Amino acid sequence: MPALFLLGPSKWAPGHAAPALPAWLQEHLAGKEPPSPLDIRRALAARLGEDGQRVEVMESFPDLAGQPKAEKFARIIEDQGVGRFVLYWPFGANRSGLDVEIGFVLERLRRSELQGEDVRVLIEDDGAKRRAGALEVRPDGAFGFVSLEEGERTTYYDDLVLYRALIPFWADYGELLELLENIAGD
Amino acid sequence: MLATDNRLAYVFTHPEARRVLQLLEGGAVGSYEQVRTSLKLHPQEFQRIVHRLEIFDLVWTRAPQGAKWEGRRIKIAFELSPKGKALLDTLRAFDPILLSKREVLGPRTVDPLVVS
Repeated sequence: MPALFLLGPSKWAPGHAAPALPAWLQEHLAGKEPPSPLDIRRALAARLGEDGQRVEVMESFPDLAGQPKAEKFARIIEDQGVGRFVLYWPFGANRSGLDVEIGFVLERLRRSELQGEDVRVLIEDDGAKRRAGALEVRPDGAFGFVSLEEGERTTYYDDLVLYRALIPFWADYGELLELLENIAGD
Repeated sequence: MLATDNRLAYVFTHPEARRVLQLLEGGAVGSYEQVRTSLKLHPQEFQRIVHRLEIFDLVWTRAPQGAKWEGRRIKIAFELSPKGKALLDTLRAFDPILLSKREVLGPRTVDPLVVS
């Protein structure tokens, strides 16, 4: 089974923070309080690793002197046998710096080196206060996706949707773990 | 726990979920009208079931081929994943066995689990 590349933001946007996190996730946060989105990604990877699932986080690999980010990205894919890409999209994250990584994935989709089903954008929507995006039934009866963080640098996330990445939603971290288990573990 | 953690057990014990998978087997569904006429489900109930099936990786949600942004919105469709198809095939293989035991097990046990 190919490894999963867990991409996503590293920081919260001003005025935002992580919600209350379940104990199983806190166990892997190594005392990071309050946890950043990067801490949470690392904790998710560690939790899944307990079950033998291979989930890679880019920031956990060292930068080699003089090496461009594109090279690092490609090296991890090759060395770790990455075959699937997952983009963690929590509500309220600061996305600056992530555009480049999404661009690497978009370029592979554009060249058909990846198919839409190889990429998943995991969108937080608790139906109340933490809504990064949502599904709706439009007035014409069609099902639609709407991005709910306009002005928060989500343009490239949206482009992934246009390239037919899968867009599962999660309401809490229990569902997020279940989603990741079902993607990584089968 | 089995009913919530195991995708096969979940769909086996939730006939409405199997009906949704069977609808999607006919092709991606992108309009509520298709759901209403086929399943007579309220849109929120349909989305609730689809959400659970999506968590199990049995249903995929994504933009249809050639979709374009319309402002901040984009049309999406639900489709049966390869796992969803395999699961449906597995359940169909159970049906003849269940029906053959209907008299012994009783219709209240068997009939809800055999979805035509």
